[in-house]
Amino acid sequence: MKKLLALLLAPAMLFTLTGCWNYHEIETFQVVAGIAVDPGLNGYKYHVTVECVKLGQGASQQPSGPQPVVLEADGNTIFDTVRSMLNESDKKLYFSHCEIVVLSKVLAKDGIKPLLDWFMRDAEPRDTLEFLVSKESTAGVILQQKPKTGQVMSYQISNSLHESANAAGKNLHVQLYQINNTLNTQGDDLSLPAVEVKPEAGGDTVQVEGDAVFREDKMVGWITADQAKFTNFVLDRISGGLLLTGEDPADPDITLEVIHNSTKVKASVGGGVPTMNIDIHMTAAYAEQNSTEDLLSKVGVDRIESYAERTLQTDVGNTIDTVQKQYDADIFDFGATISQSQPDAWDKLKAGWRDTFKKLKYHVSAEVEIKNAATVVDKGGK
Amino acid sequence: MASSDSFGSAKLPSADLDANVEYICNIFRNDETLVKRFFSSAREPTARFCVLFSDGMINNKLLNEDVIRPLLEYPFGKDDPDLTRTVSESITLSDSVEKTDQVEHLVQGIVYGDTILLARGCPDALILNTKGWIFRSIAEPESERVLRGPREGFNESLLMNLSMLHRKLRTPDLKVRYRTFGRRTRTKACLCYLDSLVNKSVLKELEKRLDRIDIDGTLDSNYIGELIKDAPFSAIKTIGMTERPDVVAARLLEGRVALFLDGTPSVLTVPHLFIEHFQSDEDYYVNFVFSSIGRFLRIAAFVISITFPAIYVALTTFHQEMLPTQLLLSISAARQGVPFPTALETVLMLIVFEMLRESGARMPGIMGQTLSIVGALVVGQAAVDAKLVSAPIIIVVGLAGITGLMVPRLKGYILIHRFCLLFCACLLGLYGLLLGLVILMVSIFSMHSFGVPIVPDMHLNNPQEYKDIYFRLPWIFMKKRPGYLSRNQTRQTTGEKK
Repeated sequence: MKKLLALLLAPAMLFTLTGCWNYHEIETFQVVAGIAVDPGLNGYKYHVTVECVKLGQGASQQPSGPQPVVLEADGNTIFDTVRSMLNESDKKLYFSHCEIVVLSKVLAKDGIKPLLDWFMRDAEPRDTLEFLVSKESTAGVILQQKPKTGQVMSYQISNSLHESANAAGKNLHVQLYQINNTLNTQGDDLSLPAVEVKPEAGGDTVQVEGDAVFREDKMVGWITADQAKFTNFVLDRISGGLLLTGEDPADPDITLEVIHNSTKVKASVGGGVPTMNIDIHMTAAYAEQNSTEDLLSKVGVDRIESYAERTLQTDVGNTIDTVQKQYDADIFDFGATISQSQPDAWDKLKAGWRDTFKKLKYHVSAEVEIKNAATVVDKGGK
Repeated sequence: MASSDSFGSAKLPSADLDANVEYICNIFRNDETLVKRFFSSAREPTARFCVLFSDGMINNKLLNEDVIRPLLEYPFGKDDPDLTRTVSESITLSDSVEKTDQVEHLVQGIVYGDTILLARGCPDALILNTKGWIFRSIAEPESERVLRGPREGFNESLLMNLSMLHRKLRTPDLKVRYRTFGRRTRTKACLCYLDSLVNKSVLKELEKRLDRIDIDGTLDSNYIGELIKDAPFSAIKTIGMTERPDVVAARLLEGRVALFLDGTPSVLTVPHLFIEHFQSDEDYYVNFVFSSIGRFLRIAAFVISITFPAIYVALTTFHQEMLPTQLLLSISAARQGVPFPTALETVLMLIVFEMLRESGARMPGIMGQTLSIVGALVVGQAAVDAKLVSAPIIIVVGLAGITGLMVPRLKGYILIHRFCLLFCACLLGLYGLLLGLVILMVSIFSMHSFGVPIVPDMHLNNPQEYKDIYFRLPWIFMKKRPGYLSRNQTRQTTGEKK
């Protein structure tokens, strides 16, 4: 009898203790693709715009494909706002397939920490959400644009973030868990990709352009796409992309495609202001030249390599200079580098790190190796 | 008479011919196939005989030429005191003659196609082998077709089947032991094994279980199979069944025991391992690479067939976040406007598939086209168009069904457990599915077939044993038999280290 009772109780525990009773039909959801957060209207704290995917009716009819639908609501917390959207949607919003969050620059300047909590805490949004900052007056306007290359604006932005990060090296794509890590460690600051509306023939569209720079959790300004690229060189996050170089740095006529890059940053702390030694190793392919002569045979591979090394040194240096002077935000993770390699020195430095960062010295050394010249061996016509 | 179906040790009542004939005819009263014919020698009228046989069971020509004619022509002496002895020793041409006065034996002889010869003044009778009935010719078994390899299959005659086996295993090491099952059917059966290879404990266990059988009729070997199964209530087969002599021979060569039953072409073999469901005799007749791939595909098909509907339901109703976004959108689009919940939809379509399969299996061949039109067009296309079911369900059920047909020997097992796992998944999602799979694995791994674990992997420590389980290595590598099946493991002696 006792055994039978135990046998009956065991499955009963499955229902009560595991929290697995969560049967819901797939078509009862409104799949959310992207969220934009703005300051609220009419006294509310937040104004949230979500882009949902509306589905065509049935599989056998004309495949119309997913259509974007934009919903908006105001509320005092993010969750409150999301729930009040049910006033206009017949289906529950489903956030597990949401890919991007666009923040308005106003909110970003006020600090993003308070609004991140729901995205971290709730079960549905993923830790891999991509965060961006809108350069426009509101964030909502980004999601309201008509998608041009994709079917859904949010997925278009998310895909172009990944593509441009891999193929152009220009953007940093930063995911929710990375933001959380950065905000909760000392000695590094956040930079998030920026997004803007771009007027174009045949309708406006949206492009990802440059980065927003944060000090702690507050946005302090922008850097350009090129500066973002050289920031990535320092952070060792280059997985592809191009490097433009030439004899005259102001008028580059050679394009190299990065095959592989590895950057090592070492700090030497001895005596007063620390010096960061940035050591870049890049393997590249000779991808394009815009000159009348065959530079490869005329100038020689070694010289072109040294052009590229010089370009890297000056541009990385310029980027660090700009960020040091204008924003005073350690988006290069220099503080974290010191704290990891020389924790004792970091203990002394961390109190006055903001001031130290401004005065920080750096030394960039670059080594470029050109592996191939693609499909053209000799251009001829010397 | 003791009872209607047994005569104990009753003897013929007297030495009087007419009384004896009367006695036997009385046993077979109301059975009008019984034929009796009196005759006496032309030269010596006192040599009077009667033959009794069941019409249709005997070879009439044999009886006429080899029994009646010599008796009519034989120069009997006057008042021969032991006519039956003279007949059996000097006259009849029949190859097997038994002299007995046991009524039981005589009755069995008549019902098995023998002829009973009674003679004047004799208290006993002769049982003459005149069996002759028509049986099906040897054909390839429908359920075990091969593209390459022997094409003969067993038929319903026990002796014929044994002869087919004997032709494959020409050794006195092949032991063939008769038994009889069924109080009323008196079905002949026989145990076959290779004496030097057989696992004695399996043989002993089998005989012990066979001794316990007490049933009035055995029309197919499955009657016996179910009675001696290790787990009578489980859907898992722990006894192998085949209609192919080459398969039986191969299994005997691995140290297994076969049980033939008269009247059925399916032969039982024990012990039967789980992996045998995925092995085909053709695996050994084609290149080892293809057979290994084939086995892998069959195992994969089995797994897909029992889990796929459950995975689909778990993913689409519990774990939508695990679906890739594009897949989620297309499934969601297909489900718009479908009235039934996914779980119910899946169950219904699985049942519909099983019905189509079952009707196909029992249907006259000429109606096949109707079935495919009804099945594919009405149930598939039209149901999706009418939004009764969603399109992905058709794919899921179709895939589960097709993969299930790749392992036809596990048909019933797959059918039941597909629904069990689906139920688990409907209740608790992937968590439930895993739970169900754990229970399933434990139940399979703990099961035995005549003392041998049906999944012996936990007990194997020699890589040699794996050479013919999940894949088949070339014959040059398979120098030994599986140790858990056979006493004598040496299969090939060349190259073996002493």
